[in-house]
Order: sequence, then structure tokens, then C-alpha cells
Amino acid sequence: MFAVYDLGFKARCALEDDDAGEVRLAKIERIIEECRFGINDLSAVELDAVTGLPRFNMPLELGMFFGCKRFGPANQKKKRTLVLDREPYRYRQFISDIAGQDIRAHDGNPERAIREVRDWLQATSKRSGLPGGGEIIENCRRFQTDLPTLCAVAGLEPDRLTFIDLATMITDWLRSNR
Amino acid sequence: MTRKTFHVYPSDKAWVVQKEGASGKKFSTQRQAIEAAREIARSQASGQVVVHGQNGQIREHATYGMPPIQDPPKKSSAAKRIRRAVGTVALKRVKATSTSARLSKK
Repeated sequence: MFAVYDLGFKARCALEDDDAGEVRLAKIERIIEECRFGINDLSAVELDAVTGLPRFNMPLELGMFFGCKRFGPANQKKKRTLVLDREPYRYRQFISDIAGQDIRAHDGNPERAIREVRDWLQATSKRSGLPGGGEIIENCRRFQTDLPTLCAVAGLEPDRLTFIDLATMITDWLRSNR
Repeated sequence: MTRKTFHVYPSDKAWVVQKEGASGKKFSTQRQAIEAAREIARSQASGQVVVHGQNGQIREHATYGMPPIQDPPKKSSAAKRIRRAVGTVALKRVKATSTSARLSKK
């Protein structure tokens, strides 16, 4: 999320809206429809310790993104997706049909994930003047150092920040600390 | 890594333009200070200008040669508090680095 904002893009998420009246799936559909770029991190697909079943929300959303691109109107054909996972080719064990897509591994390392996201967004969007991976990583480290102080001054609890509070914190911080 | 943000803030009936880790320059009006900050930022490969209000809160922001930061998808109910906190903490650091730079020169 930090890298997306530092690169000048807007991070979207179903958690951005606290409108309990809108069904979660409808929120996801609306956000997917509005976004040209999608980043899906499959590394969270693990077996639940209690039920022994996998949590499959991320692959479901990835499928919706592909479907929107394939079957949507002309403006949806420009959609681009980056698929991230912890290990190379792990996806073959549970979602092998996506072979051939842009799938990259980050080894569970947030800094590597930042570099992958940065390089993909630059190559795909063809925007110039984007910060390098090292610069984003340094900014992110500095932001994380500042976060407890910022929350204390703002009267917020770091562990209970909403998606929108965190996005606001990140964007204001980037505007005054890059 | 060199900072790219030029802060414009009020100080002792004047307005200061300052980058973190460097000494500031005073101007008699806010307009003059903002113009000077924009000029410096434009002359660099990339830079940004942030204007702080009396309480440190971020009031204006502009980028030059670097991507502008997008607003979040929705407005936070704590947006004012966050803006004030981020501006205050950033400004405090800028002023502190200026003081330490002066002390190290002595």
C-alpha cells in the first residue's frame, strides 16, 4: 500500500468503505471495475489452523479481475494484473490454470514485494519519474519509524487504524517527508 | 538519501523555506516564501513543496518532476487530526535538524 501511494497511484481495497449496507462482493466488483491495475498477493492462501480449509478470497478476486477484463466492455480490456506469491511456482499446486500470467515471488520479504510492485507498475503504466525501489523502501522504513509517534499525536491506536486512516497517514506523510 | 521536500512555515512574523537537514531562508511574506520554494523545487530534478499553517498542519502541496500523491479513496473521519499530526511531526524534525546543523558548525 505504501509503495502504491509513493509511486503516485491510489490503493483501493474492500475495507476502504465502512458502509455495512453494501455487500462485500458488490464492493469488490465496483472497485475491480474502477481499477485498471490489479495486484493480487496469493501468499496469504494457507490452510486455516482450525478448519483445515484454505482461505480463498484472493484467488476469487483474481478470477473476478480476469473475468472483468475478458468479458467486460472495451474500457475493461486494458486491465493489467500482477500476481505475487511467496515462492515461485507454488501457485501450480492450487491454481495451476493461471500459468502464463505475470506471476512473481517475493519470498515473504516486504522489501522484495515493494521492488516487484514498483518495477511492474513502472513497466506496465509506462510512467516516467517514478522513485526507485531503494528510495521507496527507505521512505517506508522511515514512515514505520514515525507511525507510533504520528498515532500518539493524532490520538489514534496504531493497531486499530482503519484502511482509510492508514491511507490518509501515508499520503500526508509522503507529501511532507519524501 | 537526499530529501526532496521544501517546507514553508511561519516563524517570528516571517515565513521560512527549509529542507530537512539544511538551514532555512526567511522571507517577509508567505507569498514570497512559496514562490521561492517553488523556484528551488523546479530547478531540481525532482522536488515537492509543502506549506504548513500556524499549527504545523499541511495546507498546500505541490510536486515538480515527481509523481503527485493521490488522495485516499475516501475521507477519513480523523483526517484533520492526522494532517495536523503529520505536519507537526515533520516540521519539528525539520526545525531540529536545522538547530543541530548550526550547533555542529560552531
